[in-house]
Amino acid sequence: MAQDGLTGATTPGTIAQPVLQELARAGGGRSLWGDALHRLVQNRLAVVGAILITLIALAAVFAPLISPYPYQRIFPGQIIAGLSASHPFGTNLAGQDTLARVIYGARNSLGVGVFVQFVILVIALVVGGGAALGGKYADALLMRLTDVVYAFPDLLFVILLQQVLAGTRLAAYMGGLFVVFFAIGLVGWVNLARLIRGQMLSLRTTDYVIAAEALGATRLRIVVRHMLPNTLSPVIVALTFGVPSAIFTEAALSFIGIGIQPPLADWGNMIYDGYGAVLATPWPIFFPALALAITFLSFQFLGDGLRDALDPRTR
Amino acid sequence: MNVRNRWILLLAAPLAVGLTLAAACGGTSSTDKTATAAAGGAGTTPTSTQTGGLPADAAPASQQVLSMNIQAEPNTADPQGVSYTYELSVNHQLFMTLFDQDPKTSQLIPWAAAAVPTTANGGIAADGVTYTIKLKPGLKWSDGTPLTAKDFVYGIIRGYNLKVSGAAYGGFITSIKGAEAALKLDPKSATYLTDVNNDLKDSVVAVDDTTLKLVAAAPSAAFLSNFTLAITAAVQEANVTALGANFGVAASASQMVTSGPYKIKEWVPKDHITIVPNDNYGGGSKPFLQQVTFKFIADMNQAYNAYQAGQIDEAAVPPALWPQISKDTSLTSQTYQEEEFGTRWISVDVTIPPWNNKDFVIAMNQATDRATIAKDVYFGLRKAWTAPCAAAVVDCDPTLFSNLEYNLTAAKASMAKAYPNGNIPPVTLEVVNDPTTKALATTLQSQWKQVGVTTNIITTDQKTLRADMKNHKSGTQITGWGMDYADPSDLWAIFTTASLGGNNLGFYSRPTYDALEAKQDATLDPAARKPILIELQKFLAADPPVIQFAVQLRVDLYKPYVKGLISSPFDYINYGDQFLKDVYIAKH
Amino acid sequence: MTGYFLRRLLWMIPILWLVTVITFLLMHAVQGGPFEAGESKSSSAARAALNAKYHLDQPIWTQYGYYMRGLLQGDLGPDLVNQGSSVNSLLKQSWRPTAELGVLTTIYATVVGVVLGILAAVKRNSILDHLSVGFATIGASMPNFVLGIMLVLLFAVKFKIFPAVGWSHGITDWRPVVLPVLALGSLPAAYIARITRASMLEVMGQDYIRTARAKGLRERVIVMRHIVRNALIPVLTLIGPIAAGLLTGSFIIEYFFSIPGIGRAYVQAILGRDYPMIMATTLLYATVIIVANLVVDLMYAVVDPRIRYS
Repeated sequence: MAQDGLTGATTPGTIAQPVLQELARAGGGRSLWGDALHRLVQNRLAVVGAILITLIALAAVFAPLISPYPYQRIFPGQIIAGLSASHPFGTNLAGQDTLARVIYGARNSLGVGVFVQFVILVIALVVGGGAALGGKYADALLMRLTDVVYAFPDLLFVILLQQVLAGTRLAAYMGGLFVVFFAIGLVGWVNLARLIRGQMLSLRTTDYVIAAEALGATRLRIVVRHMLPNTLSPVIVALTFGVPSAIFTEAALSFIGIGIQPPLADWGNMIYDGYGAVLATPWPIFFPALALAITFLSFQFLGDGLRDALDPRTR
Repeated sequence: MNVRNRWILLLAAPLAVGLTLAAACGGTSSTDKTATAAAGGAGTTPTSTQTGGLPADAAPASQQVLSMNIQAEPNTADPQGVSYTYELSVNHQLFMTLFDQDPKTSQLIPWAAAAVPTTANGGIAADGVTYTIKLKPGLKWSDGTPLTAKDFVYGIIRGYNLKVSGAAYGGFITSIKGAEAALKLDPKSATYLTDVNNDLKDSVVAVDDTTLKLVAAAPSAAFLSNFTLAITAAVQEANVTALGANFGVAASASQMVTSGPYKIKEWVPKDHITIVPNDNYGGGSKPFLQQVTFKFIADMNQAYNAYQAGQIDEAAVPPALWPQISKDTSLTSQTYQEEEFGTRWISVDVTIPPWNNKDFVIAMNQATDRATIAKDVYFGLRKAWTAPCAAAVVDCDPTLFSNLEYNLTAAKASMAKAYPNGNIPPVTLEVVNDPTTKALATTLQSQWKQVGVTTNIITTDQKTLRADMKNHKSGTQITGWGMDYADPSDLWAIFTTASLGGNNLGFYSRPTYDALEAKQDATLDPAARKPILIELQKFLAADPPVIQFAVQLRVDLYKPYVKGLISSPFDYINYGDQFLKDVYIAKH
Repeated sequence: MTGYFLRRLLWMIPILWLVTVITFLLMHAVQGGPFEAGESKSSSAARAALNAKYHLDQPIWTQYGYYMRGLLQGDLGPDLVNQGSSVNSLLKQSWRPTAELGVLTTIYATVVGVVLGILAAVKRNSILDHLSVGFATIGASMPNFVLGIMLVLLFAVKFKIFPAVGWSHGITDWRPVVLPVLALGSLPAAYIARITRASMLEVMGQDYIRTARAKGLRERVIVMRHIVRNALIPVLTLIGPIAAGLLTGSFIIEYFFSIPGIGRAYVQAILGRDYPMIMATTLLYATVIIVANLVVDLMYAVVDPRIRYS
């Protein structure tokens, strides 16, 4: 069967799991990355997604240059002001420019997406790879560890972890966001670890690995040259789909006030703050929600495109 | 086949299935299903009010039902355990204290007591510390048994039992002789209860069934006001013993024997408390309302939505909506406005830098543009206010604090005095995550920047916030004081050394101030007391313990059919919430 | 296969035990205890008394011992925030809204998702297809709290059709259920619709469908008996994790609609450092997730005969 959609968004981890297992089975010997790129470029939605992501990333990086005002600047007397030439997206409850805050908010949303996936990748590679290659006992131990982590309710466990880390020095980094990113990563690696393990286990019995072994290649060489590259494509797809899921998780936590510290801007938190005035004006909620939706869909489209491009069976 | 029609049917199907299931789930429930269905007060007997005489425009007794929002769930209904305003709102309907406050004049009035004791009526003895209080005749508990002076002795002494009550307000009633010793006892001791009783048995005495004798530790102007506090309410010993640890708890709330105008019908945790009239109430006229439901909706916007959706009859106005509501003629007729009897300030930890520098605190006071805060952050729902006392506090003189008013030039001068080299340390502002509070924090941040102060804002939860303040980690806490009663001791005691670890959040400890405060409390003659109070306020203006910034203007919405509301500065949670006795529902 | 599932069931015990250990350690690492000074006018002596009463003044392993002893006897401990009440009674009161919300949302998401997915696939490239793909896309791009805000403003505040806050009290009281279910369920519904559509399209391209058509079977029979039945296999296996996710992940919606459920209680418990409540909820949710996982594996074996567990 082929999967046409894979958001993993409602609950990072739980939903995507069978699909990821499916993806694990989909791995195969492909080395023609150029081929995949060609297929990706053919997918119009994926290209749009990639372009939008690039634009958002550029906005995030060059926020100080393109933002009309500093995100923390207050305009006294212009509280929840409507749309105007000087404030194209209006202002919020504190009298800050919404456009500036949407631009700066991209830093957090993209940051959480990328950073969380990095944490997830590192842990999943160690655990999944270790389980697949470390022998019977390491496999049993590491897989039981993933069982335990899997059993924790994700979002609620993130809150608990965040509260624990809030008391440490880490809380000072990135205006409180670091601990949230870290906590989301710390509970989100289970499915990827299982995916990597499954992928590597199946690769071990493939003809070309057996052939490489027969030719006397070292274990390290087999892992680095053959197994890792062939594990890469489902991992890339999983990570791409993981980004919007992490962004939603962070936005949800931020919505209930966990993580972000004022005057930093964050889309989830902007929506929460906007809710304080939503009956007076919808704009403080509208723009960050729109930004969130665009980012989310962009990664979705790119993920769809990547999966189709990297999985030859769907051609 | 017509696909379009089928598609609509299929879309409707999940809804239908869902609803059937909701019905099925509800059907298996054992909880009280009458909550909304029987909101007409089916469980109550309407006879008492029909003879009691409802106002002419009132709806029939079966429609005398009010639903209001108290914003948070009480931790307990035990009068000796309550301390938060949302708890007091409910408790005031359930348990009588000896005295009450007149909602309009803030004067002490008798409640369970027949009269307020004075030297003239012989209630206060010549020694100035012995009080004799007569109870109203024929008082009864909600179960019909007589309510006597012994019940008050039991309730008052129970307030000092740290194991039962947590002694909310414990520090406040040290004015009873023996109380200070009782509060110092170790709750873990085997003889704890007997010891507490022994310390107080000669100062809280039931002379006969309707006569109570109280002995103060020293003459105090605020002594009798303490007996308006819920912690001094009578509770029925038999009931407390029968319910044990479950006294005041949601699950057995309906079994609580009460003395006030109402008793609890049901308490659904995390959702609401419903009270119905106590037919045996003898402390005054019986209430018109046959059922009052207190909802626990924390978020002001949610509460406002619920009000608009017709779920509740009362809700506070979220500040951001005030400009709109004040212009909407259909809504302005539903608003009730009052000035809160309390003040909002930022407690600063005067033991840690830079707040331990007196001139710095003065500079920060002068750098705080209160008018802009009132207008931009609170949309006019707060009034800029520089004095830590509300205007209604006896002998409060706001002009004494004019040196602390917003004045950038003065602020820069004070700052230069505090830090001549310009190396001003950063300050931390820890706030709860709430749109309005965060807007306040960011506004303060930009205002203080004008005098060269860097402010780090940290949003956190209430618990962390309190713990950090207590451990000298944050240095600031946005708080304030809602008056328990009109006597100024209730406010000025906060800044004494004795209140450290309690309400004195900023660790303000000045021997001169302590002496002044003790002196004013012991001075019974108002004329002699005034100059001491003036001197005390001058001291605070020269060495401020807080950054005072506002008094709250409370605006609540009530459905047009809710009548008989009384404006009172004390009911700082909801308009009229503590004084429901004259409230009724008009025909609509 | 029975042996396999028995082993899996037994394996739940050490997992849940580890969950208690990790949660216990973590929550005690959170700064501040349940009884702190603050706006409440309680004295420090009273706090000390409370700490002693609940053993909070003892070393952490002693506390853990007390906790586990109670747990094994079915006592989840006292509710520290709502004093006098126990976690058992609190869970007894709050499990129903959460369970109802989770179950109703799962049904809503599954039915809407499957129906939209099937229609979109059968009428591929029709307006219907575009509409359902549009729904799936928009539904998936909006966090549930944003959807919740929109629904409340529209249907509660403006049209006053449904209540803005609260939860059903019984059979006839169905109105409070609608908005939370719509807000929580639309994202998984969109997801299921996408999976169903893709799965349908895949099955429709299979040889045996062509054979069925060649046999001259009626289109309706082909769609219902052959395509839908096979296409729903992957969807079926998704419902377990989705249900688990909805049951344990509904706290934002509970928070937003003031639904007196477990999720909202959990967030309040963490912020209030209500240790026993945090433990109990984590354990309960962990059990739900493990069981859901087990059910998924079981379903795989039932619907896909190629899978064998040993």
